[in-house]
Amino acid sequence: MADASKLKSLKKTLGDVPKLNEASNNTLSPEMAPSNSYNESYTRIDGRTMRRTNRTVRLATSVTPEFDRMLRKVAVEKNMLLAEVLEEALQFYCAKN
Amino acid sequence: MGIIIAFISQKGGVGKSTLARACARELANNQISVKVADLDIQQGTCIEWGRTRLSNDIEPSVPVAFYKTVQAALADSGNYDSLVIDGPARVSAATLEIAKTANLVIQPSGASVDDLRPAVKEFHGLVNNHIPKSKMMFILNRIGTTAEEENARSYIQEAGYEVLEGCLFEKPAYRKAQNLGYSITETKYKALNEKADILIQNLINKIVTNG
Repeated sequence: MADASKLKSLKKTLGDVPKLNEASNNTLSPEMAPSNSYNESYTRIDGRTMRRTNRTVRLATSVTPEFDRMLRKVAVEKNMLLAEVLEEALQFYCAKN
Repeated sequence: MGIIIAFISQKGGVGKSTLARACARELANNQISVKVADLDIQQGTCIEWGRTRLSNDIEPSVPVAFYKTVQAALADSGNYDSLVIDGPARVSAATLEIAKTANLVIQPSGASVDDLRPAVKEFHGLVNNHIPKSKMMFILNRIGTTAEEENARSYIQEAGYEVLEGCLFEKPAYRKAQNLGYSITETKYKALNEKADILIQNLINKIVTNG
């Protein structure tokens, strides 16, 4: 008996292919996707905003208890702020690498 | 300027990074100096993979770097025998720049119409910008069955584009390998490795044929 099962796969199940005149024009888009202009332009003003100098920014991260202990120990011993210890450590690291 | 192999797509999750990593791994294994240019600075898939590979001491090492722009990546291409570009999940003017310079522009795609139709339109867009079809190639990825592969292959061919011989089947082992910093040619399963290896070999052969 003839095996016509493969003919089934020739049946168009994916529909017609797009024509050349249906080409995407995404190549006209800029390399960097435009960001959300609403979020970018909107800044909620309050008392702190008025006083903000942007000399410093907040940095929050998670560290091990050992690291935390050591960092605070150095800060106390040297009478420095935590941020100052980190700044100095980073400077030292960058100079070494 | 070294050989430039670019993986592009408008969609995410189609296999750009998977194939870029495997391609780079095989080139590195042939002592060809290679760099993977990860242009998706928000996602950084290849960067993370490179870091994992390095920390797990997997040989050969595959250098990966972030580039904010295509121009920056292309400017660096002269320093290597080959530059493998892992593009962002977005087609833009930069994609056209890549296509103009690359030896081969590969667009991975799944087998669904949702994947294939926009992918064909993107290649149409490049054709309309005078990129020769000989430079463009589809690779079928995340395929379920051979019938599905055949169907997708004939769809792409009807649209006028070449599809690389072979495909990547949907296998958790590929994901698992990449999670650990390996490429799809380095899974624990010989048969899967061979299939992926044949695919990358076909890709290399295509580059050689293109010249």
